[in-house]
Parts: sequence; structure tokens; C-alpha cells
Amino acid sequence: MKELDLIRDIKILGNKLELLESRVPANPEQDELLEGLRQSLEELHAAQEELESRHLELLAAHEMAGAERRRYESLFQHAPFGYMITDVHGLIREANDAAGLIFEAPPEYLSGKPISVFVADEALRSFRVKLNELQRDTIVNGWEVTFKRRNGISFTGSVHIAAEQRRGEEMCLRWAIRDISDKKNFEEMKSDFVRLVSHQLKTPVAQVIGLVNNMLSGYAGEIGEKPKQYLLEIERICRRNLSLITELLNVSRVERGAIPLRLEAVLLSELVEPLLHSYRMIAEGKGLALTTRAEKTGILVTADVSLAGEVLKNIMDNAIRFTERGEIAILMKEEEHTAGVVEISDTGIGIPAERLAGIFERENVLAGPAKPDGGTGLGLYIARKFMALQNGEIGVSSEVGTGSTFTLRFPLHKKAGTS
Amino acid sequence: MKILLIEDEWAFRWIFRDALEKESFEVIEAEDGQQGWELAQSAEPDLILLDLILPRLHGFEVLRRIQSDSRTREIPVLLISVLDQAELVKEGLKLGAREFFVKGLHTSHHLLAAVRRLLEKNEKIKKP
Repeated sequence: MKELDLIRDIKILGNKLELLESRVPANPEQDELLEGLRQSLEELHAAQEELESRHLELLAAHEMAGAERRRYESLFQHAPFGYMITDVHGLIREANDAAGLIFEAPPEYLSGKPISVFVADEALRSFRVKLNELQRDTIVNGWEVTFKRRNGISFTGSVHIAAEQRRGEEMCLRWAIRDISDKKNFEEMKSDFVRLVSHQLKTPVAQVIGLVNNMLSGYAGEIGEKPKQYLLEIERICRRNLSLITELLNVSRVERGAIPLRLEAVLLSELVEPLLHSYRMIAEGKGLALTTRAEKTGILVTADVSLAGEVLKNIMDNAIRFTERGEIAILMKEEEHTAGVVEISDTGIGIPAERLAGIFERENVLAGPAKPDGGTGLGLYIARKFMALQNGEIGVSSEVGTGSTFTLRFPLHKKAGTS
Repeated sequence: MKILLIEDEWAFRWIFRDALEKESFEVIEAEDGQQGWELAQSAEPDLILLDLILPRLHGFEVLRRIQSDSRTREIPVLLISVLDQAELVKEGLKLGAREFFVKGLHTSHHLLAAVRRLLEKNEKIKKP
């Protein structure tokens, strides 16, 4: 080190000066020169001491930096989740051991590869879109991505990203990735179980409806007026039972808090489309017009497709059941840059004011009078719960004899950085 | 017109067959997904009614195979299920099904209307 060389040189210079003083005979002119040299040497000694103290400080700082670095490396390497540093395009610069374990590839294999090679094909497009959205100092939390390991097996990862730009350096992305497949699988098992129960309970009822309906359509030969009335009643009861099965399964899931939530960015029109598919035929069969209108296209909201679907179905079921003539109109719009709104309006019998107030409350349902249609009345309570789970809202306005309008508000999807 | 009906529940097969035959459609039946996929390749149906929850091969897997085989890709598929969850409808349409029929909600009358609509549409595509 330069400092050490300098200190050594000063010592050598001091020794040489002493040697010179002892060998050279007394001479006033030379004495003056020697005195000048002695003074310079003392100044150099002072500088030497200062340097030595600085040097010790530097050594201590250096050791501390080394210890910090080792601590950081240890944290980085032994973190319980995959930790990676990439450039803005997702090119991996560093990866820890856990990242290697997650992707079943050694960290040195990961380094230099784009992270997208580990994203499952079906998730690649949305992954790239999100990556492009990342700006300086943005943070992404709990982004679920379907990755694939080096051996091709896919898994769900929960991703945390911090975008960082230090002065004079290019922006880098710090990734923390956790494998949440087990949690996901458990949630899927629960969903599959509810689906299985739903399937097993609904199938026999749907079969009776199908058989009765065929008889009513004359596929089993001519039937008289009285049997026809009986069959119509059987069909009505069975349809009610189908709704009951759905409502009871949903309410039991709500009460147990057993609703797996899968929030994603989805177009409002994508939520409405499956609904149109199922209900257009029903509405037309009843002589009702089913219209849709969008004030704006491309309204992107954050919602759970399954839960939103259940809410929309419930509203649509009611609209068709309580409307004898006229139309059911679906309107999609954006509200104050905060919400994507679906309004479903009907020209049905409407809801009396005294029932309107607590229509979404469970207590009101249980304490209230028997419902005119023989239903549980739990559908709207479930609808409100499902909307709340998605950070959304449900509202209603209605006038007896004119019709009802149900309004569903979903939060607009915010781009990366605020998620 | 030949309709392939892939459905494991005999009561539903009965319901759909009666309605379709009454309207002079020829109906061939498969009782599980595997048999359905084999008939889709060999029987040259004009339209396929495909149940979702099937033994041996899930309805979505049958649909995937139909869509990825050049011999069967053009055959319109109408999914039929007692389940009507939005994510299933969305997935089914994404995989290439033309319509989604909900047992218990829709009636044979709706089914026949959908079958006619799809066959007519497919004829137009074949003969522009």
C-alpha cells in the first residue's frame, strides 16, 4: 500500500540523517543545512503519525466493509426465497442458492439468462407486459406468475420486485421469488371439492328438469292440460332447488372464510361475456331483450373471474325471474378513474322500499318474511360478500312497477408500482 | 346431419338424443372422454356435444385434442355441463368451444336452437 511505503521511506530518511550528523565534522554552514533537514524530518514525522492513524482507520473501515459484504452475501445466499438481480429487461446478473433450487438449476446456470426462459409459455405475454411497465423506484408485491423449472415442470411463484436506480448506474430489478405451489394446490383442491359437490348435487336435479322439459315439449308424446300444469310446477321447484344448492354452497364457503381469492387484471367485457353466453337464450326464450352497451372499451379492472361471475349470475337470475316484459340492459362504464362499473337494469316488478334497505344483509334475510319466489334470499348477501372480497361494491336502486338497477363497482386495475 | 354426443350420464344422453332425433338429427353416443375422442376422429360428425366432467378423459382435454388435430378442428363443439362457473365458461370458449350449454338452466329447446345456429354458421364458412 502507498501509505506504508511512505512511512517506511520517512523512517529510512531519519536513519540516514542521524548517520550523516554523526559522521560529518562541525561546520556552521553545514549545521544550518542539517538543522533545516532536521526540521523537515520532524514535519515528516508528524505527517507520518497522521498517516499511520488514518491508515488504521482505513483498515478498520475496510474490515467493517468486508464484514458487511460477507453478511450481505450470507443473507443473499441463504435467504429462504429465490433472490435475483436482473437488468430492466430481466437478464439475470446474480442469483442465490434458493433461486437455483426453485428453478432446479445451479445459480451459475441462471446468471446471464433472461428470466423469461423460466416463465411458462401461457404466462409469457402478460409477464412481458408487466415487466415493460416497471418504472424507477416501483415496487411489485405478491405478483403470481406461472414459472417453469429447468426440467419443464411448472409451478406458481409469488414475486416481489423492487426497481432501483443508483446514481450513475443503470436501473436494476431486485427479485424475491417464493414457490407457492403447495398453497395453490391446497386452494385448488378446496375449489375442486366444492365443484365436485356442486356437480353431484346439481346433476340429479338437472336431469329431472331435462326429462320434465322434454315431456313438456312433446318429445314423449302428447300430454293433457292437467299433467302439463303438474310438470310445470315440478320444473319450477327443481329450478329453485338448483339455485338453493348454489346459494347454500356459496354461503357455507363465505361463513367458513374458505374462498380462495384469485385477483387478476381483467377487462370488464370479459366478466360480462360468459354471462351473455348463458343468459341470452334464456332471456330470448322469455321474450325479453338482452342488450349490452359500453360507454368505453378496454376498461381494465382487478377482479376474481369466478366470484364476479357468481355475483353477475345472481343479479341476472333475479332480473330474468322478476321481469315479465321489456328488457334487461347491461351497461359498462368507467367511474371517476377509480372504478369499472357494470349496471344491470331490468323492467321488472321492482323491490318495495322497505325491503330495499337491508337487501344485502344476512340478518335481514333470516329475520324477514318468506320470499315471494320461495328463494332463500341469501343470493344478494353472498353477492355483497363476494364484491367486498374483490375490494368492490354492490348497490341497488329500484321502483315498484318500473324495475331495478343493480350496480357493481370493481376497482380499476392499477399499473405496476402501486400494486 | 350427424351429432356426436359425449356424455357419461345416461339420463342426459336420453334427454338430448330424444330431442335431437325428434328434429331428425342422427345421434352417435360416447360414454366417456376417450371413446368420445376416438369417435370424433373416426365417425366424421358435423357437430359435437361435449360434457365437461367425463371419466377417462376430461372434457377440456377432449376439446384440446379436437382443436389440435387438423381432421377434427373444423367441427363445431358445444360444451354441456351442469357447472356454470364463469372461469369454466371462459376456459371452454378460450379452448375453442363455440357455445356453453348449462344443464338445468337451458332446455332442449335452447340446445336445438344452438345446434342449428352452429351448423348453419359452419355451412356458411365451408361454402362462402
